[in-house]
Amino acid sequence: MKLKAGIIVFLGTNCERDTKTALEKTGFKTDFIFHTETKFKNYDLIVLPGGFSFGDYIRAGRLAKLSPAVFALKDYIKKQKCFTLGICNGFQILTEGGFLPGALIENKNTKFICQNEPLIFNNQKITLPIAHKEGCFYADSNTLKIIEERNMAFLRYQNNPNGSINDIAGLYDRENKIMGLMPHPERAALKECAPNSPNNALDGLKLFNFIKEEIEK
Amino acid sequence: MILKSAQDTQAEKIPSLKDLGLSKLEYEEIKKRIEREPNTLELYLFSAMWSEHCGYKHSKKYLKNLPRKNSCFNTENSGGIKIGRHIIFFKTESHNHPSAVEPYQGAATGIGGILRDILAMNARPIALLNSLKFGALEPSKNCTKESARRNKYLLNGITEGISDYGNSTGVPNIGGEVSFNDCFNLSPIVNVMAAGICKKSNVKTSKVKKDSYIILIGPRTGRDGLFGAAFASKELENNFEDRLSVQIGDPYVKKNIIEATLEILKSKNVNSAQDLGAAGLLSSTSEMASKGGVAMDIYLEKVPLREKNMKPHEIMLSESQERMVFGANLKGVEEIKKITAKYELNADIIGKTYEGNTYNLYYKRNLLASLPVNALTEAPCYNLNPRKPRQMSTLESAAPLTYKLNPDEIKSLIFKFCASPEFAGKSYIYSQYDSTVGIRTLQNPHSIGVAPLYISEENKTIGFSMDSNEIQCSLNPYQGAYNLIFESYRNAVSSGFKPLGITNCLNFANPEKSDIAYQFTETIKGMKDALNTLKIPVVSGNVSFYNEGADKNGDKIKIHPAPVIGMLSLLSSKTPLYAMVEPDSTIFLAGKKIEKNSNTGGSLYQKVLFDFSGGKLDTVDFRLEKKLAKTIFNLKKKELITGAVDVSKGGTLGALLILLFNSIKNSGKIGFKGNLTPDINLLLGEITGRYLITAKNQERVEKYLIKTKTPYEILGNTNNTGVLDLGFTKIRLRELNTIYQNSLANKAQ
Amino acid sequence: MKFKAKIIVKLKDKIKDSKGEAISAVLKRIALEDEANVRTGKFFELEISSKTTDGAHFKLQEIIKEVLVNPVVETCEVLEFEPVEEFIPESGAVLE
Repeated sequence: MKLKAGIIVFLGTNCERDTKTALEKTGFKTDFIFHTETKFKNYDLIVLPGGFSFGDYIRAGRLAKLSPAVFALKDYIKKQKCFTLGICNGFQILTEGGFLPGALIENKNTKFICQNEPLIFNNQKITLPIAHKEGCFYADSNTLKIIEERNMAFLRYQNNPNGSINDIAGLYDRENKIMGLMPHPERAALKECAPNSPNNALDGLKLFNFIKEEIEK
Repeated sequence: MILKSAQDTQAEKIPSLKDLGLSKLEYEEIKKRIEREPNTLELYLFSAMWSEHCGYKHSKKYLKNLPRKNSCFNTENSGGIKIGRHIIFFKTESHNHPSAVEPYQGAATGIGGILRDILAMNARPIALLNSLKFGALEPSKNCTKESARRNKYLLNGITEGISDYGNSTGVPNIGGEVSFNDCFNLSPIVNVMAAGICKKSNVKTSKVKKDSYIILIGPRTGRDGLFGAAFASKELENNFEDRLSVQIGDPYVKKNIIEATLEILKSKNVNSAQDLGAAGLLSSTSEMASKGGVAMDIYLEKVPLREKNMKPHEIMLSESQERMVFGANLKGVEEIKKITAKYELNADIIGKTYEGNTYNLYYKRNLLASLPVNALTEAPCYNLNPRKPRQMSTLESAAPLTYKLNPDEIKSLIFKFCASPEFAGKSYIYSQYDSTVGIRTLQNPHSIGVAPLYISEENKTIGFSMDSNEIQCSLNPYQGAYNLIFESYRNAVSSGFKPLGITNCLNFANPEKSDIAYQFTETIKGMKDALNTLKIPVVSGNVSFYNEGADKNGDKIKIHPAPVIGMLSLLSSKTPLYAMVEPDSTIFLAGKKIEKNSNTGGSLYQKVLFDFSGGKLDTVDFRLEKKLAKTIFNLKKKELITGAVDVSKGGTLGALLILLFNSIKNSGKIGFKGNLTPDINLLLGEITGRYLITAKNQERVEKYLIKTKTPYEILGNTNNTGVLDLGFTKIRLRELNTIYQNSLANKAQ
Repeated sequence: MKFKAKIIVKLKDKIKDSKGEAISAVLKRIALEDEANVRTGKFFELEISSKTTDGAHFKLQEIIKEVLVNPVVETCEVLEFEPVEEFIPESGAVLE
């Protein structure tokens, strides 16, 4: 049976179709969930995709955490045995909403950065595109200690482009059920477009496949 | 019928014709067309519709000469080219004047405007590109300290405006070009291009049907951007009041408008769409009525307002951003209301159409203006009075420079050239744009070759490029424009793409002056001849006049003629060719041989290194161009070449450096060994008809080139030494590359 | 009753303010101030309707907590909080 993924679409989200394409390449069946919905079907994976939800006004992810679908997600995660993934803006929503520890603040160079970024994922080197302005991960020392002790940081930058603490690019929650990351795996999932790094063109699929395996465990 | 607007009865001052930018003759023409005296409101309407920005009154007659064959929808909001069952729409727009006074908002709303043009065709926007031109970033004898500081401010503001706005809309910004010239000190150029895709059978136009409701969606209307159309049609004065006319963009609302519009236009109950750009509601609704051949009533009291006490002409001319209008039947209105509610947007019925040909404005049943539609939308056309300025002949016949330089001097000039903002890498700007959203982008943006884009709808790869060359166009506008089209052609070919069509953005100073009129008419001729030679059409375009200003001493500074072209091309093999080379490859120069007496006038190095602009431009040998294209496509098909780059700004050495710099990232250490002549003009001079191609198998490529009688020479071989060995000098590549990559960031901050 | 509040939100002092540092660097470069120690923030002005001052105050605290501030990285300061006269917006074009 095919795994099912629900992609939450906020106003201002702009990576929902890219994420759908990548998930379908990985073998998921996908639905869009509009941010005003509160009753979700049975999903194995809920994805909060990238973009600029509600214009990222106030702070990236701040207004989206107030959407009915995000409130509903809190209960849903508790009741349902499902996996949650936040990509870029989705990661920001998850930290703002308290699903994941820490916060994402403005990049150290104060500018939007879009480039291919070498990363370490499960001890292997991969390259994924990044595209964000508020991607500098911050956590206070206590939180950081917990993150490191429990191996919650599953993705790290090799050349830390944005000033993230401990080079953190992606993070688990304590139960290893919620994942958030700044890079865009869905943008490295099509063999037809390999932005400048043909060798790493499909590195995004490695991540989606990993999630798939985790769910199937 | 009494046609007195409130303003006529008020003691308030009535604007003079001069304030409205209308001439005495135009006033007489208005009277003739409507067979009576216009009231004040009507005068405002004519003023906006007959402004240069909306009416193209100085250019329309000449633009007609450009070839259109094989383009579609070219009289609509945006034209396009058919690929399979889809149309690729693409268009450029200038936002020079607004960006000069408020760079961030000016550039942002430029993006907003061009996206709406694409959207109005029911096409999903898939790419943005831009051509930016600034004055110098460092003070010199042609550029004061304040000027240089302001230019940096403009560059950063414009880049940030494009970045914040474009990124938020989720449309990838895939490339373009950036150039620097003192002639842009007072008038920066911001040309933005957008492309979209739509199934041919789903295309919507602005042709509204009779008995339709007119629905306005988007934010409330305020006074922002008032008289924007007239604003872009005058020379910029350094006046703070000009800021009043700047519109404020909202990329978040724009994103909602994009999604809402694409949903709305799926309905067969919605028959037409139009975006609100220059001259706002007036221009959009009157164009709809004119295209649809119907009469239209607009009810001003139905337009939701953001500000108090707005006058009828303010409501009609406001350029409040992120608004669209649709024509729909009653069922369509309901559908639109449902969709806009989902996206948290307003939607109001503001008018109706019916059989006839008048355009009426009502306020609570009072008829305020009533005009024949076409009287309004068909602005008068003017002839220009072109005369070749004497100065131009002098420049062209200026003796070619001869420089006696020793190898060490040349070496230091190479460093200087790589550090110049004109030649240096532009990643400081491009890395601020989201180039990968949409998962269609094949390559990070830069100014070389084309930006390839995957079209999953047709399983094909298309390419876009933007090109211009104001130095060459200032020396000889005809040949400059002609060569420009071929420069774009070579960009496409070097990436393995076949050109399909272009869009243009024609930036000039005041066309009412004979020298500028000459530049403009010659440019059109040059473009036309080149396009006819290549048999490709212009699908859409934009004209921006009056790009000039007065400096502190009151001296006029006019921009060089700066036609910018955006080209659409289609990949002719499986994968694109990139401007890259691996170690242990041979680098060939295919095409014309540059010689001591070649016409290298207008070469970038002359301006950058010696502050000289002059000399004759090279002409195009079409037979050779065709042969070179065929050679490159065939060699690519046989998988004999591994990379290619066209030889343009920076000449042979410039192209070689670009190949090597691009390859450092991928191959780590790369070096080159060749034997080049230590002559700055042969190294950096620009002529037409040349490419660098790279190959692993030198012998087989040579055999092919000889067999096909393609002129070529071997420039040298690559290795992994990390050294650029030109024969007469050696340079550590990493060092030069660092300068090339970081120079712009250092100079712009 | 209507109340108007003016609020400033900024990054906590111990957190690196990249924008502030960039501005400080510029001020130094153009020789206007060597050690400006710029801190940046966001300003909000908003209106709250409530029958009582206490009620308005409570609402304001909720707005700050739920919407305006992320306590992980930010702090906030209420600059002003006072009753205002109600404003009824007009609509439509005014011709007379």
